[in-house]
Amino acid sequence: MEAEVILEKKNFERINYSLRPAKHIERKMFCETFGRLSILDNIKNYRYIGMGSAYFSDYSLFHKALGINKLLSIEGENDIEAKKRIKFNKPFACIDIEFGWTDKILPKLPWSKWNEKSIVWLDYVDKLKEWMFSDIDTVLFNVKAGSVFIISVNIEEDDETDKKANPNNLSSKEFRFKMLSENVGKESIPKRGYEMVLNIEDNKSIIREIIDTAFHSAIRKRNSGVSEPEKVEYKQLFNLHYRDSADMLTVGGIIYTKNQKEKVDEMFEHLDFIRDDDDCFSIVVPKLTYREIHALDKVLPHIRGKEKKKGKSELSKIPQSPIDKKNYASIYRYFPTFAETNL
Amino acid sequence: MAKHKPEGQNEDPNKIVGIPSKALFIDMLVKDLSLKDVIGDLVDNSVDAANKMAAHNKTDLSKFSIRISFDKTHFNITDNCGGIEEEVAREYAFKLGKPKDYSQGKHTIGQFGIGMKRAFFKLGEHIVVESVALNSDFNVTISVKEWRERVNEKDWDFKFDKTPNRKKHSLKDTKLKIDVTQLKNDAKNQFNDSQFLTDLQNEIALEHLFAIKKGLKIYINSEKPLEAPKITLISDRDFKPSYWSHSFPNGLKVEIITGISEDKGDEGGWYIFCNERLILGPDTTEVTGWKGGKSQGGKEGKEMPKYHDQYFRFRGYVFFNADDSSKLPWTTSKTGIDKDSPEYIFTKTQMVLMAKQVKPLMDEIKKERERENPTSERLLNKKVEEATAKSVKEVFTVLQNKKSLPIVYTYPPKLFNPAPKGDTKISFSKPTKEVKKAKEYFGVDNPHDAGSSAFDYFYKNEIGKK
Repeated sequence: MEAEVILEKKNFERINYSLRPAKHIERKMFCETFGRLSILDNIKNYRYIGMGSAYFSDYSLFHKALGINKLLSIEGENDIEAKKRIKFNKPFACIDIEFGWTDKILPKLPWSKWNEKSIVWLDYVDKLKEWMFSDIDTVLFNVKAGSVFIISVNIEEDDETDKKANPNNLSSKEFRFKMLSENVGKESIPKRGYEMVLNIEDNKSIIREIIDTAFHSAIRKRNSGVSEPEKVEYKQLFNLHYRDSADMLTVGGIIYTKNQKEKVDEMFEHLDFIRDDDDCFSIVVPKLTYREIHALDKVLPHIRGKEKKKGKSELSKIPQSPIDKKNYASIYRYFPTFAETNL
Repeated sequence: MAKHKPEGQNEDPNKIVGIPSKALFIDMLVKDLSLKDVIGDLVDNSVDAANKMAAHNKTDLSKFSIRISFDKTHFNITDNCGGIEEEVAREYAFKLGKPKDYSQGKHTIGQFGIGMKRAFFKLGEHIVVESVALNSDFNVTISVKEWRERVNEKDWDFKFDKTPNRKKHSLKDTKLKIDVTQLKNDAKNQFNDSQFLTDLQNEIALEHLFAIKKGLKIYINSEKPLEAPKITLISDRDFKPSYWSHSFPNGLKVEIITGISEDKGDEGGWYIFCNERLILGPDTTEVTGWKGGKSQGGKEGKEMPKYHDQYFRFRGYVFFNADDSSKLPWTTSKTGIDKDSPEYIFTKTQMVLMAKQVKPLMDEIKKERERENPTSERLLNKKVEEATAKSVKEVFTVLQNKKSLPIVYTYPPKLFNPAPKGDTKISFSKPTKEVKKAKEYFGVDNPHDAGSSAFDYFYKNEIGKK
């Protein structure tokens, strides 16, 4: 009985979103990236659409840090109690909530009435599934040029030892391929996927490619009905992998017209985590003490010349593995500090 | 090595013969077409002619009629829609394929310049065309056998029976009459089949419902003109169809209207019109997005689920319109949409989006009926039934107010009232006096609780004990 109760727990009851450090870092990276959108348009002319859960962490951040004041949360939890909790937890008046799954809500949003560009982050807890392609189509068909669209999916390896899921004792490679085919439809799997063992490394690459193909296919549909100046291109900005409780992959980017191209080519410069290709940026959160964090911060970023040398020698004094130091250096500006408080 | 010398002295030594053979037109091009398709082509030409003649008042075609009759020995189509002028016949009408400098006029449904000719070849061997136009009249007799077997293979021309008359006729006296005899076997067989007649009548009526609504009379082996089937939507305060329109860079325009109507399986689906001629529909296949897919936690597929009884109420109407009919996304048989045309790919994305706006309503109607939810509790179903009784309207009527239609389909979702999971609702009536006593007995203040308590009491004492 007890096990069942746990299984039935809502997503937000299972995980406290605000305490997941990798997610936290990702969110801050997004925040910095979205800030750059002001080169295209006043950030106030953007609407954020996401899945706020009961924590609304991304909503608080984007509203407070960026001043976005049109925010919409799509909330799948549909029973009365969950609805009440979610409404209660809404942190700001400017957040609208639509209850229902994305495949139901996205098609009925009044896209053509909205003058704003959009930042849409569909943070699915699930693996990539066929129905998500329909969400991709809906968003990319409707958002204004200059909008950002991101999706996050679970890329955990499928477990072939799960007797219930694998009653025929398929080998791990066969089983994972079968699961992938069931999830996204066999026709969506690139041929190179047939040879893969579909571990996390493979999943990072193949799932990104499937999403990328779906994005481009949606863009083609959109472009097939409009004149040259209205046609859009897609530039990938995010190809992020991280793990709090499960391995997740985030893929997304910006769509823009020829007119906006020059700005878009330059506006995301010097953001180290931006990835426009298959090379995935992994957010690895080293386990550091506050003392270590302070010591590392003092020598970051790595500066050139004399300072660099000095920095290096300081760095070597900190008793941490070089890998942890490197990982920290790649994300230190977004690293969360958690403290116990009584607000 | 001796140089190969072409036979004709003046011929280009690099020439390779590329002109088609007559057999291509007589035998090949008609293979993929049905008899209904080619008769449809002839009707299209007449409808185009009627629209052209009605130029000033395109909404009134009541002066025009098309009469079709056939049996196992002959086929005839006669209209009074303006005939073919002598010069048009001489240069264009009998030519196989539309010359590139010839325009058939704006907003037509004839496009490819092959409709009449391929109809001849599909139907029979002996054809007589009789035309009375505003400024001329003529007759042309064609023997396909003679045409095919001419010694000079390059002689593709037809001949007027005698020099055409250049004489004025009033519009009401104009006609185009095509008689076909020595029918092909296909035609002989099918023209004898009453099912073929019924199917043809239904098909032409649906394809040309716009023209029929404007007063055009089409008779097919009958003295009673075809009636336009009604295409409908429920439209009232509670259920508002959604409307969307778009202009393509090439001049093609499209409008879509979606919603629900009566629960009829053979009427549900998508209807696609090109220049007011039905090209496809009601369609419930992958072509219009009913693709289906694996159900994944209540969400399924990339587009819409496979069409089944749950979606019988769905109606979607797509109207493509173009002055230049070559911009329309249809196939040459006009029985299908050119699925790969960019304009259709774009439009289909929007069609799926709009169908998905209606889908939750249809899903909820079904869910509300599940788990023995009593009829009185099915509030959304009740509302839909009421609307079906009083608010089913013709699409044309709904479109008159298209400016006021929402961009997103709207219905009253708050009414949705399914039976709770794991529970079954029971409802029954009992004499008021007895209910009052039961309320007192259980110490409750409403009949619902009294009924529920009575069930609990019964269960505890009779079933719970076992």
